[in-house]
Amino acid sequence: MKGSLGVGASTALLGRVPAPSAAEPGGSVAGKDQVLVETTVNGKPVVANTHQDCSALDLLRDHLGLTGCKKACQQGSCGACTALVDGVPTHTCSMPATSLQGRSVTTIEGLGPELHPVQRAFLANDALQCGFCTPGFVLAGVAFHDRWRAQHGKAEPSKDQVAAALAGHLCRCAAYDGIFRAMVQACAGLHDGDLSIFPRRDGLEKVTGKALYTVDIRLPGQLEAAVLRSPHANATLLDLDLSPARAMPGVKAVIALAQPGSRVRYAGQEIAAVAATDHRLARQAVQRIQASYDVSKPVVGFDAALAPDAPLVYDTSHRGAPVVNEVMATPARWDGNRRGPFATSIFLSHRLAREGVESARQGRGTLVHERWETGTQCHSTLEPHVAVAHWTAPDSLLLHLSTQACSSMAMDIARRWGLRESQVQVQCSYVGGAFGAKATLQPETIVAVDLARETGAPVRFALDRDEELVVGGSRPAVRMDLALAADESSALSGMDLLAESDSGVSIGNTVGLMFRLMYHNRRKRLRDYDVLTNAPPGRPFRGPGGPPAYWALEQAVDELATRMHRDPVSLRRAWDRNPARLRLYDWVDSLPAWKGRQSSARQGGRFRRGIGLAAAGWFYFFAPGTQVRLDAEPDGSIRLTCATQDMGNGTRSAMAQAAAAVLGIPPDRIELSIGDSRAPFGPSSTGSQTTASVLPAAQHAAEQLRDELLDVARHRLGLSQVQAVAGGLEHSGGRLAWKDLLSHCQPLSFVGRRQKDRGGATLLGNRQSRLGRGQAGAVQLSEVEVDTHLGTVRVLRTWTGIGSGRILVPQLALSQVYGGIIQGIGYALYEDRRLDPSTGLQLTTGLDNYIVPVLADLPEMHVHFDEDGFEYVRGGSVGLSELATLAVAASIGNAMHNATGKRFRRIPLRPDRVLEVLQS
Amino acid sequence: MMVFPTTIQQAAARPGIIRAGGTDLLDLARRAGISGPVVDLRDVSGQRNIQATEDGGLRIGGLVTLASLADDPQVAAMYPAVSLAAASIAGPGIRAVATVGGNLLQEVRCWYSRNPHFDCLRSGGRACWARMGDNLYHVAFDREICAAPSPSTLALAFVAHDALLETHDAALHPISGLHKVFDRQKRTQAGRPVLAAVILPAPSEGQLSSYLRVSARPLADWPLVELALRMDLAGGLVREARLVLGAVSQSPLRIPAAERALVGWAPGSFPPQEIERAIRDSARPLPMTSYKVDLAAAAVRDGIMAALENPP
Ligand SMILES: Cc1cc2nc3c(=O)[nH]c(=O)nc-3n(C[C@H](O)[C@H](O)[C@H](O)COP(=O)(O)OP(=O)(O)OC[C@H]3O[C@@H](n4cnc5c(N)ncnc54)[C@H](O)[C@@H]3O)c2cc1C
Ligand code: FES
Ligand code: FES
Repeated sequence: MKGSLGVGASTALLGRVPAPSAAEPGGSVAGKDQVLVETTVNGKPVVANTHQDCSALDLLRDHLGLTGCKKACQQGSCGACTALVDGVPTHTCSMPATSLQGRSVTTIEGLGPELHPVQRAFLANDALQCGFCTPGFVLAGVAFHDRWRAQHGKAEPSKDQVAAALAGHLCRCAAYDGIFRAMVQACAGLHDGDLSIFPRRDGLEKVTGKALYTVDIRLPGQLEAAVLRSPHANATLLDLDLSPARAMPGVKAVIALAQPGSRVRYAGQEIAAVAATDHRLARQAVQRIQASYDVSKPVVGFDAALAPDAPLVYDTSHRGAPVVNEVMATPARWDGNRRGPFATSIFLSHRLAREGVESARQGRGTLVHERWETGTQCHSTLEPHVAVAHWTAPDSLLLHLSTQACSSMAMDIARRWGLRESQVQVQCSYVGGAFGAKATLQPETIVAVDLARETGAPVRFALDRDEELVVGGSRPAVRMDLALAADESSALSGMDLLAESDSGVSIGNTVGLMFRLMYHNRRKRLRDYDVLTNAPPGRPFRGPGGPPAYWALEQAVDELATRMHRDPVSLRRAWDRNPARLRLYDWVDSLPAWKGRQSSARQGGRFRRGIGLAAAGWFYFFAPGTQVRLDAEPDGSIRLTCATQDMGNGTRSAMAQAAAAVLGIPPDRIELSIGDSRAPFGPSSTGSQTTASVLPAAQHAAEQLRDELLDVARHRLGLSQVQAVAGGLEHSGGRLAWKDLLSHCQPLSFVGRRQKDRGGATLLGNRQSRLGRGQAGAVQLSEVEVDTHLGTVRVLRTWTGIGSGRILVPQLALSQVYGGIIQGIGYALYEDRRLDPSTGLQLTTGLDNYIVPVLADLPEMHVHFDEDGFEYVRGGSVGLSELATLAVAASIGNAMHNATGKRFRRIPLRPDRVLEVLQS
Repeated sequence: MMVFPTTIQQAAARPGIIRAGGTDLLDLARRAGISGPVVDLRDVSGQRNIQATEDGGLRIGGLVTLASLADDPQVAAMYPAVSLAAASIAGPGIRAVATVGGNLLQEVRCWYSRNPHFDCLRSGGRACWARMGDNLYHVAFDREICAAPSPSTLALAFVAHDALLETHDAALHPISGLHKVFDRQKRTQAGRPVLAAVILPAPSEGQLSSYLRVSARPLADWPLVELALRMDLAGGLVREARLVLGAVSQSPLRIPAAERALVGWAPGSFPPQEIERAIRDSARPLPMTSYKVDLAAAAVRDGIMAALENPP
């Protein structure tokens, strides 16, 4: 954005500029596209020169550096950009900067200096995860709170009232439960006093807008990048002329990302990139680039891909096809646009499975044979993919990156640009959501790094929301043919799965793995196919393969139970061997809501309610190479350092808690430094492995400190009967705090490692990620209400049982579970990426038509942690973030059946589909 | 290039696109990457309030924000449908900025026409992509060649109340002529009209009205179907009715046969089959929108009930 600005003192400028309303007939005229705005921001007068299309958000963020105003959807749908304009919460992305003339603006930076009760309530209720949406929610909350208190005193607002006040605000991490509780408590006056202790280590930075995310980084001389993307889904690039863009003043570099002659396989594929002095200019330059294509008919969706005369997505070579999951794709056969099968089971079991199914089909047992379908779900993190690359020397790269894999990203980058690992520094203090989409090196990073090298200046590349929705990652659509058979004794006698996944141009889907994980049995035939289409590649999404797999499997089990007149819990108990889940089934049986559920046949009327159960399992991963350094200083300070990151999952809090527990001190005594690849190796936040990796390493580091200090007491200070107690040690002559002992020492430093589990781990994996022994288990119950006239579905209550071992920081674990449930609700009810069938261009390019859950979707949620069973694991717990979302859609499907007597086989459960099934 | 006229008459005389709240125009400019001259109404001080008219109705200034409209106690008391319609739009953070005029004259929400990669009938192209493509959210009572439904929620409520549009030159036009008066082709030319106000005639005694929307997600979602309903009573029976459906046709859709079916009955005792038949008979769904016909029928049943709950 071009323009000059003055804050505070520079109001003097006004004297020299004609005031905007000194008008010629017909009104005042501003310079070509440039307009002077005079306003007050956080109490200070501001004069700024802005572009006519500049939004108030651009002015606040880019001109004034008030980065607490976040840019997320850019079209009024998410509220991340909220500021108070004359006290009224306003989506500043949708308001012209010129409209700020003469008004008074308060941003999150302008609250305070004291924390507002709403901020304190957000902290106390952990009403946030990644924190990217938080400033917007806080400001809207503050305005609501102040108005409410003035009118209603300390009465509690209802959920509808809070939801209406916060309508238009989205939290992709789905911290809605905490947000709602925080609002009620703040209005009731429970947070008028001092700040109580709060669980999230970086919470304060997030509720005050001080947390700097990668999108907020502004280095001196920083350029902005934009990318030309193919408007065709299937084409050959013929010609590419970059010169018109290069000729524009302010454009510093233009690079080709595809060469003439190369194949374009999806709309949105990167063709060329521009670095310019501001983003608007970069976008304009991109539009000047001349690219011509030889366009062919694209393949969109399963049926088109598998049609006999379908064009081939990969006609000559499949090499370079991106892989959808974190694991390498195993070699498989290609047959037109179908690749596979990737068999998750062995040949012998195939025969047994087919026999079991066949015999049930012939009446000896019970068979459920159905096709199940799921839609494509976009990650759409509120902070988009973004990188700020800065070559500080010809062989030294500093990269600010919104990533969930700080350490491994630095390694990948070093490899790609021929650097040593020590020459690359990746920084990510705060990550505005990731959910799996920010784990690997992607074009957005490459663009920033290459343009920075070309221009010699720092370059930022942030995806706009439409780009984020198109290329930022998605969970593939899956269709599954599943035959599930039980013999006459109701034992599982055959499971035959044919799963096809449409992850666009990417390969390596492994939906079948989930079917293998559940209901241990030899009689399984599990076949996975990739169906190649001209759509952007999928990326791992929270529990890759899981939610679609359970959508099919857990409804099939439920249907089988119905047909056999068996109780769905008892059938699962008979089939299941997972110790965690077996205990959780007992918990389900004890729930009054479950015991008292009605059968669908007993219901009439317009609104039908039902409860459904689904179970799920997930792998236990950890990163054996994890190291946490502990530095202790003579002044008593203790700091933990690790090259891992916190994307809202609470890594900081877990590390501090683990070390604090060893030393018996409050966790806030421990300082933390994460989000920098130069620190000792830390795990990627993938596969729910972060906690299982860093927690034991932090613990190990703290143990070394404790032992060293005990040693110092015994040998250096000559104390006797020395013994560790909470906060320090006891000896024959009294007590000493760790702090006192440290004052006798030089600075100390230890490296804590992720030691082996008792009994070791599996052989699968490497230093960065290894599969441990044992599996986490979950059960999920959902209660729905279906409006049979309108086809709308609401989830009213949920009960979630989680068996993943010890829970270290219960409030943060709960936040993870709540978020997983609500994301699962979005997956089941709303989220639906859509492509134009004839061109393959994406239609859902905004958060207005790609719909995600809002606060009003918040059900009443009950969570039960079963903490036993993982004592052999270092630290006693395995991850739960993915576990919490796996079975949600399936439980909703079963609840729909319980409510209506009908089976719903496709998600999302849009009203049109619900009506269609109800009318069938 | 942009100007800040201080009256709507000045605004009408200047070339360029009229900008009120700018909530829609900023989005369009961002998508297109460019924009032409702007005539911004920021410095216009009039047309920002809601006043009683001499004949007992209300005059709603064209620059009144949706928030003020939704919060106005007179509007809520006299025209529940208008109040509810305003409150149903987006969230408070948009309603604080968006205006009545902008709401009536916003661009359609079609995911083809708003996507710069598609040239459609609205942007000089020769075909309607939605008609041939993914039309899940398009019209179900198909009346024109562009398949995008009319986007304005307020328009429904205004049609239900037989509102008049007042332009900058003080001329009055029936709301049904909205898009004839404000010709999209001429919207950047000097001399095109600027909306001054919407005039709502006095509500008849015992008038019932309601607004409701059906959307997949509760709150801040666009409607799949929406409905505004007004019934004037005489002697306890319906004398005149307006039944207006939104999000289903190219303009706010009245169903005259259904309106006639309401006349002569006591509220609450309507012939449901007849009304439903009237709706279904006038439907012309696209391949993916027949569900909207079902939703419309259901919404009308609900809307009548809701109207009974909003007595004057
Ligand atoms: C998340 C979200 C949800 C939404 N949901 C809904 C919904 O459910 N229903 C609904 O109806 N809308 C909805 N909207 C749209 C919103 O109501 C409009 O964007 C808004 O009303 C436009 O008003 P504005 O003043 O900002 O218009 P502007 O952007 O300023 O202008 C829009 C158009 O109107 C013209 N115009 C404006 N004022 C005048 C005037 N006085 N005279 C002549 N021409 C004029 C402009 O030239 C322009 O063409 C939603 C928007 C968002 C962001
Ligand atoms: S960025 Fe403004 S509402 Fe989303
Ligand atoms: S905490 Fe709300 S988006 Fe992450």
